[in-house]
Amino acid sequence: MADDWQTVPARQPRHASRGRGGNRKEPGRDGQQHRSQSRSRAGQSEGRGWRAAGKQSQPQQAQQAQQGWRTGSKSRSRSRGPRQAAATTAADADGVAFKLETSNMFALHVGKGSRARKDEGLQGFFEARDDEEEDEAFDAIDDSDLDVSGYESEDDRDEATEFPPVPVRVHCSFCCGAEHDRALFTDAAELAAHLREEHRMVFKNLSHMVLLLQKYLDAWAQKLSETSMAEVARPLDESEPPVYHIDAAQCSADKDIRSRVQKEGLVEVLAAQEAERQGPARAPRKCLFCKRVCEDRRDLFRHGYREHSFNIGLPDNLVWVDDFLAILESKLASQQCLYCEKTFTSAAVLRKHMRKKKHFKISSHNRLYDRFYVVNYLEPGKSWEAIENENADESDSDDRKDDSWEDWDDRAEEMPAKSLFDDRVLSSAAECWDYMVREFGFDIHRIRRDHGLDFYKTIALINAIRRCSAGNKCFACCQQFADSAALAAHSREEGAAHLVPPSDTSMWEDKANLRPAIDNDPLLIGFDDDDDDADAGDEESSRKRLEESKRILRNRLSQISLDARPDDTVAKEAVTPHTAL
Amino acid sequence: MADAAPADSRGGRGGFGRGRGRGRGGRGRGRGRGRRDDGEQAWNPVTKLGRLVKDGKIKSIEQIYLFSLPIKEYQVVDALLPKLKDEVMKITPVQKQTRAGQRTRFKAYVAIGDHDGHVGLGVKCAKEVASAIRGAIILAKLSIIPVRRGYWGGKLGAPHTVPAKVTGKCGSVICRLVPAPRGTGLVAAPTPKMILSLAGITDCYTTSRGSTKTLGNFVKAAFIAISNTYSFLTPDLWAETAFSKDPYQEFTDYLSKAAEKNKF
Repeated sequence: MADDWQTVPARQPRHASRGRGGNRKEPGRDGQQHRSQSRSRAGQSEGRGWRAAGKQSQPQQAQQAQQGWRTGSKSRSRSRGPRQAAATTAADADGVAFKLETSNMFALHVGKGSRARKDEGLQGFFEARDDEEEDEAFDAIDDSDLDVSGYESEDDRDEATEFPPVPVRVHCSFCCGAEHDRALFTDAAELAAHLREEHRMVFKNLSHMVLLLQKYLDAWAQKLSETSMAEVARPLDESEPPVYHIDAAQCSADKDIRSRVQKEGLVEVLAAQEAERQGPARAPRKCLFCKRVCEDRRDLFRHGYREHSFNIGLPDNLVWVDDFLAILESKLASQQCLYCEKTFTSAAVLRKHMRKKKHFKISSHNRLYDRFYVVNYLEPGKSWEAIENENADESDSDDRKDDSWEDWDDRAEEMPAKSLFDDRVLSSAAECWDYMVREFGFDIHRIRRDHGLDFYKTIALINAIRRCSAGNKCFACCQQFADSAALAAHSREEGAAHLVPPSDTSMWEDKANLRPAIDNDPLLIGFDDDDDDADAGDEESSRKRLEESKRILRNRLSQISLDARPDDTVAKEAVTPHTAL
Repeated sequence: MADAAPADSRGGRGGFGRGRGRGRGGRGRGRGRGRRDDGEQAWNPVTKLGRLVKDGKIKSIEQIYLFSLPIKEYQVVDALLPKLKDEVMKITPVQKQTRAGQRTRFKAYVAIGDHDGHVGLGVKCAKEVASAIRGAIILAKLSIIPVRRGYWGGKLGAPHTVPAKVTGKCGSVICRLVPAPRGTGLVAAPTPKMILSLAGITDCYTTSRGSTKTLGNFVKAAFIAISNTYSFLTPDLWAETAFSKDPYQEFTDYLSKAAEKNKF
């Protein structure tokens, strides 16, 4: 049995080169010292260590002394005494299986979900091994000096249940005065009290809107400037002047405002997420728990999950991720555990705690993180838990209908277009053409028809005009002008008619004119093309024929329904498409 | 879409379970994460085509296109086109009236392509942004289409533009692609421009008609126009082609053997 410990498994060279655990060079048995000296990294020495701690057999003890191991087993056994003893005995009892495990300990990769990990007897073994896969930042510290007994409890899942109130940053919209003069509130309770005292109003379920509080209050302030309080709310019983109670269930104005604010908020959040997806999500960032720098956000999250079991959700469900990670980092920096929210005396103790309890996650009840999850903006007031449960019951049948392409309407795609002859920028290509017709008499359609310009010639023309105008040169008569205003005036006078050079000029052949003069020129995209394409002509006439035949069919069909006679043959004949055409 | 069984095997302490108390994990998220962990949990093909692709009998996706075989598993596309890049074009919230009030969900529009002759579009609606994106990517992979590229003038170098003037129509939007000389770049509105670049077209003019504000229809029209490049018969395709056996016929013995093996 002892021999197995001595065999050098294939993994060793890799292990040595990883360089973890600091200095390893120490005289001793060849090849073994690396593992034996690195205090907590080498699983084998670990195994040896803890095994030795439990039940030291004579030969092993002798060997230990021989190799000059420090009784590093002590370091490992600090708090694992009871468990280790159990493990050892279990292992000894099941000698054969254990031997298999250990003889190729390094080569054997035991996945996170495998049943071996659930085995009680092997917990210690895996903990020792796992340590090298998790945090490496503190391996220089000898944990034996740290006493964490006070923090340990039997309960593994001790999630924090009480949290400090979520800080908000809201200006009271009902106070008069300029923005920055208004009272600033950082606590929701204070805000509610202020609203009650100063403005005599109480909102029901204000906490539902906590993510969109500023917008909500602003919307209400605006509403109240239009209508009076009495119309939209009813007073609570007591005092004079009356305190009004605004309730979404009873007041439709409130409901409208809430849904409007929610929609706006959601759109804003999605826009922010999209901006993030293009920019910050592609930037590299250092992992929270180890030294590794991950190249982009997806990689960061995947690494966090795989290496540290750290899961805060998929990056696509989060928004303002940089802020989120900054908050988490600051918590870690101030030695606070993310899950149970307890504070520790030093970073090393914190690490140890998180490693032991596997608290590499955040507390799901902490409302502080709510604003980073997009799902919370979906329906304010509904917690994400409720939505999750709801989802389980929802049927999928309606989903098919929803997957159509028509819902996507976007005003934002309008590209501003600069006029050809002066510096004015219009908001879209169509407007630009209209403007040029009005101002300069430059009607592109007429020009195309008159000169028989096809697609490529039109493009060449537009590009050539642009190039000339950029140099303040008139396109047609090649006069040079001092500036664009003079050019514009000239073009206005002369009109468009002389602008098009005859078809034998070199301009038409010049390939350089086919390259766009300016990037993303909407005028090149936006001229209506219907004269050019022969297909379009065919389309038109075939469409007309189709309409005609449809009309005939419809007539025939209506006739049939009116005269419901048994002469089926006649009716059928009338309806076939061939006859209709 | 073979959606793998819930990742229950991921139990254990560091693992990913269901229900609360596990950080912000959730059903959809959990499964997605779990899968990626394993190198995407082994794929068990369900269709004959999947079986052939997994076993490496079909080496390129053009063999599938040649016979117009429908692709029902997205892993087929993954295996044959490893260099696909996806772009999320837009995420919009959509609402629906239900008995229990309004139900808002997220709808993701995704375009996928390898910048070298293949594009796909997908749209999916789901309760979470991540699930919507993932579903849309899968649908986009299933809708991948080959793009034919050609030359504007002389046949020098690699093809860079559409081979002929092609047009696509969706809803009221008509999108037309016109060949352009090398170096022109893509003269198009931003969204179709992205699709054209995913397709591997470097130079192209576009014109569009209709209400291009309905970007959904605009994008689809551009996509249809791109897919029409292979429907256009140009003189260099006039040569007679020799018909070959389709993969099901060619590998029929292999398939029947594989089916028997799977019976156990």
